[in-house]
Amino acid sequence: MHGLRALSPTAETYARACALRLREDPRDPDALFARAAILASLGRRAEALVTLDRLARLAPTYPGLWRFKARLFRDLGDPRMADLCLEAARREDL
Amino acid sequence: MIDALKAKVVVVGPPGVGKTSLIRRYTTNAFDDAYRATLGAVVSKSVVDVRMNGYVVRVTLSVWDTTGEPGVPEAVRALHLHGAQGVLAVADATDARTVPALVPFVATVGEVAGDVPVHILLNKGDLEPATDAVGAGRHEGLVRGARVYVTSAKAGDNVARVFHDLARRIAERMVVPIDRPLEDVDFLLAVKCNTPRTIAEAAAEAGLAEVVAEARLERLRRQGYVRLASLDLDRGGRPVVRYTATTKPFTEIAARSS
Repeated sequence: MHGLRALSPTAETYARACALRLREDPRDPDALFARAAILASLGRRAEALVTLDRLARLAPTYPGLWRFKARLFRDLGDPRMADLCLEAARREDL
Repeated sequence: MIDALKAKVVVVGPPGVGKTSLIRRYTTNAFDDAYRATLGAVVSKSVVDVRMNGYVVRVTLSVWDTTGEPGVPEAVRALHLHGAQGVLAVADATDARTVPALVPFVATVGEVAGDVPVHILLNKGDLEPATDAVGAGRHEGLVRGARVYVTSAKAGDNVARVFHDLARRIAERMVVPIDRPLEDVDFLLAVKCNTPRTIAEAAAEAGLAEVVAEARLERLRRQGYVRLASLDLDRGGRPVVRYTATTKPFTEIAARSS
């Protein structure tokens, strides 16, 4: 993952743990979610969404997935998609 | 009579304190020494029957095991805590440094989920708990109005108890909302607490079941009429709290009586 230098040392450690996990298993849901979180924290929201789309195909009930997608769509100025994701989040929450 | 409730419980705390092991012990009654860091979150379901003053409330818990890794974006922690109705904050009973490490987690709980019941767990209690860790845990509990337990995911000590107690406190809050008007018995409980009282003592003196007394005392605490005077641990590592009255006047009761 490029741009790690923009992260704090602890966030960088988290990012490296995530990268290592993805090298072991590119379909690891935990690591995909973590990767999306790191990308979002770097302001790379569109890439984060692509990662979450991948996660949604592999593990559509992954905890926090739809609420995270909703936030990213809202930040990217797409309230309609954000609402659809929130609806999915409400179905998955409990 | 059985009522059914659903509740989200989030387990937080620094890495390596045994959050995943506690949940595994509770949901599958198993323990595994191997450690693999959680990077995101894992949800398990569990059903708890809570007896509340003559009826049973069936609480289906969604237990969220969340990452404790440092460096996780705050926004992710907030996502995990969204909608939480109860929180288990886990530290390591053998390592006092893990107790202050809980503070940022619990602060985020307050910001995202509000005033929800928090239990502080000092895990790995099968090893020799460090006196300073237990002291620090009790202090945090007292400051935050949280219950403190010494648990062992390995031996199973207090694990089921912790989840059951949290489910009960969540159910109490759902069944008896904080804004329900106070009653004379609440006034009586607060008066009894002019001298610090355990839940059992206050319950006996007010002629209430302990679960009812605890629910009312907790509501009084959240409204500022009583506070925790002390938080001790019994020999089994379970919390013994004492409530004491504050100086806040009972305006609601007084207005009704006049």
